[in-house]
Amino acid sequence: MDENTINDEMLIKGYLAGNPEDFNTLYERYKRQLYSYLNKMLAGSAVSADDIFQQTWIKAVDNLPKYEHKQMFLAWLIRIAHNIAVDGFRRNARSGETELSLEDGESPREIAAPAGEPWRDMQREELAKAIDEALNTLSPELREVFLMRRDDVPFKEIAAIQKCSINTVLARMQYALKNLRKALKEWSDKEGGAK
Amino acid sequence: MKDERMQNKIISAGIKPEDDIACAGMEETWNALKDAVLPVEVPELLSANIRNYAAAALQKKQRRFRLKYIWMPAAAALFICFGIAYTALPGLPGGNYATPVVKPPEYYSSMDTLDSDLLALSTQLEQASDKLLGETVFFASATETLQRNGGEI
Repeated sequence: MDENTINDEMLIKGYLAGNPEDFNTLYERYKRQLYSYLNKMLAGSAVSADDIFQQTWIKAVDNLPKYEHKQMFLAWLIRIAHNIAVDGFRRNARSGETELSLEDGESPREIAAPAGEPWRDMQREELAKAIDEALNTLSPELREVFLMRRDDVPFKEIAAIQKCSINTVLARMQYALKNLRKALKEWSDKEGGAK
Repeated sequence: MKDERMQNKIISAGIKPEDDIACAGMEETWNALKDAVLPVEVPELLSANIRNYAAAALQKKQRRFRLKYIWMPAAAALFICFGIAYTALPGLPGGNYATPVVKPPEYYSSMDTLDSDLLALSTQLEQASDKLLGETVFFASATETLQRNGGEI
């Protein structure tokens, strides 16, 4: 267990013992990662990332006494957010709204041949923008795996959140990286041509 | 289907599930992409709502704890003490019930006299009612006889 995890446990115990400042510290530690994950996952969706973010933290506060420190705190938050988002999508589907993650008829792209390294010439802001656009082309499962890995969530926990085997998660990660690579190459070619 | 084909490729390449990245090419891609993300700022209003909720939840929990383990036992103890004081202490109104009242002998003899008088009175009432009943029967039969013989009352 690393130092950060030990500190999370102490912060949670401190909050439950009556110190609200410990919760604020915990919140400051993970708010950006969770918010960034939700914004990327729910981009273009009918479900609002702000709502899911707020509901996730509310549910986390209500269930903190039951948190068992068997997993990373961020992984636990993402699992709560994932379940709330799924409930939101189901509710919207029942009421007639649909998720806008993929256009009709579109399927995840085939595995691309190893492309060049388009990010070498990009500035950080350009690359971030390119990644954002490339992420939107991935299916929700691939996008979710990439975003969670970026936040250092272990593969085993990603498999538990997505309710699939660890090999499936590894395969999705492979797909995601290859498709992102291809998308970035195309983006870079397009930008280079425009310039 | 595609996942299964990829799974077979990964397994046949001898890659263990614990491995972080499947191959060196992907590792470079991963390293480049992972850190190239601009930080996203959380709206301050959202953060304030969440912090306020956490503080309110803590206050509610502490209030419930104080009510259950401090105020209610204190109130129960207070009521029990009040009840004991009310019945046990002679100076208080309820204290009179606890102390035995001793009455003088004349009180009991006067009670006995009263009992005897009541008994005599009830016997007299019984006799008077029997007499009244007898006279009523007599008058009723006399009236019947007169009516039968055609006389007037």
